[in-house]
Amino acid sequence: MTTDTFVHVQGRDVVAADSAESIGSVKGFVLDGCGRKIEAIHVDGHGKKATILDWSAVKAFGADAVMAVTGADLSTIDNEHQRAAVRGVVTMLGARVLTVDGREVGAVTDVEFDTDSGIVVRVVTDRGLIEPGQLRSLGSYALVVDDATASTVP
Amino acid sequence: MNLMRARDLMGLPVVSIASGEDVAEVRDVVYDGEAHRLVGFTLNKRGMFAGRLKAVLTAGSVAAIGPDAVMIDTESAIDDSDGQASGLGDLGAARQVIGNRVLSADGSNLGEVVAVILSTGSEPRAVGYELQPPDRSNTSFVPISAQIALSGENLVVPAEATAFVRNDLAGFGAAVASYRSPELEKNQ
Amino acid sequence: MSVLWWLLMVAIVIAVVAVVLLAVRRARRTGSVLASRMSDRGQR
Repeated sequence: MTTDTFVHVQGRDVVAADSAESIGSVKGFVLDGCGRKIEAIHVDGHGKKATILDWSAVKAFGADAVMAVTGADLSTIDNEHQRAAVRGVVTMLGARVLTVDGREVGAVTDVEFDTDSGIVVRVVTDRGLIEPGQLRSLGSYALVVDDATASTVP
Repeated sequence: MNLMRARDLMGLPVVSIASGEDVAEVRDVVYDGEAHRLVGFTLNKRGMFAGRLKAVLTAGSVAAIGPDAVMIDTESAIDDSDGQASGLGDLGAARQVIGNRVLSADGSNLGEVVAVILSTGSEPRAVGYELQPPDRSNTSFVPISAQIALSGENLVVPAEATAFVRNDLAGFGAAVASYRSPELEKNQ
Repeated sequence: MSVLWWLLMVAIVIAVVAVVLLAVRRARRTGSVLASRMSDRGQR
């Protein structure tokens, strides 16, 4: 399993495998409601004009470029969940981390993910690490996590 | 035992564990003056100048109360029916607690109530009052008991409770535990 | 000159009204600690 991190892949070229044309760059991610898996990559544009590449259309998340499968269509955002992610209302990076018992335990500084599956393997905060099993939800206010000593290490 | 001043809950966000959204914030903290149980919260909308929310949050619908947020399982934990069944609907008879004069059982003025102390956790209760003496010196804490009486003007503290008065909140937690246990054993 | 003067007055009035409205809004949000179900005890 190869992994990479959100901070590290920021701005990486996204290239269509068939035409060899650059179709954008990694601007951000649309994650599932729990923050456990990447659903899509925000590759271009802002707001209503933003385009995203569904994770299923990623052929290879390479060290220097993200290769999109042949004929992959960039889609425009079509639901509130994607809109919130693209606008930066719901983002993993910088998110406040809140335990299920109502304590703030820092903010997310980076996210490590499996480049094959898009599954989050670890969340890095300014106070420690969070395992994916602890993740409960990602919303506009906070990343809610199950309490564990790992997330409260100073 | 984790203790918090009721005042510190005001303005805390109410966050859904299922969605990570802040659905409201705490406006009034309401507790039962006789049973000392926390009844629940009235709510404001989120945002500096946003108005009042009609929905209320009963203590039973709270998943956890922490120092930084009141957690609920899902957004449906907030009761839109205006709290008629929960005792939060009509707060016309509810009394302000802060500012009540504190009297000992023998009639001397011990000061005024400056805070209500709650125990957090799965079954939050009101466990004590913070008092400011008439001479404005350091505040002290007195545990709530069945004998303590609160009218909305006066809080009358029984003689036996004064033995458990503490000057620090940390020591008060232990004092509440030792003060409550004999009473609880009697009930069982 | 008088037009500018009037504009200034109108701007000041609008600003004052806005500040008052915001203060009222803010005050309406202020909560309190309430003890409920005490009506019978209070009348005793």
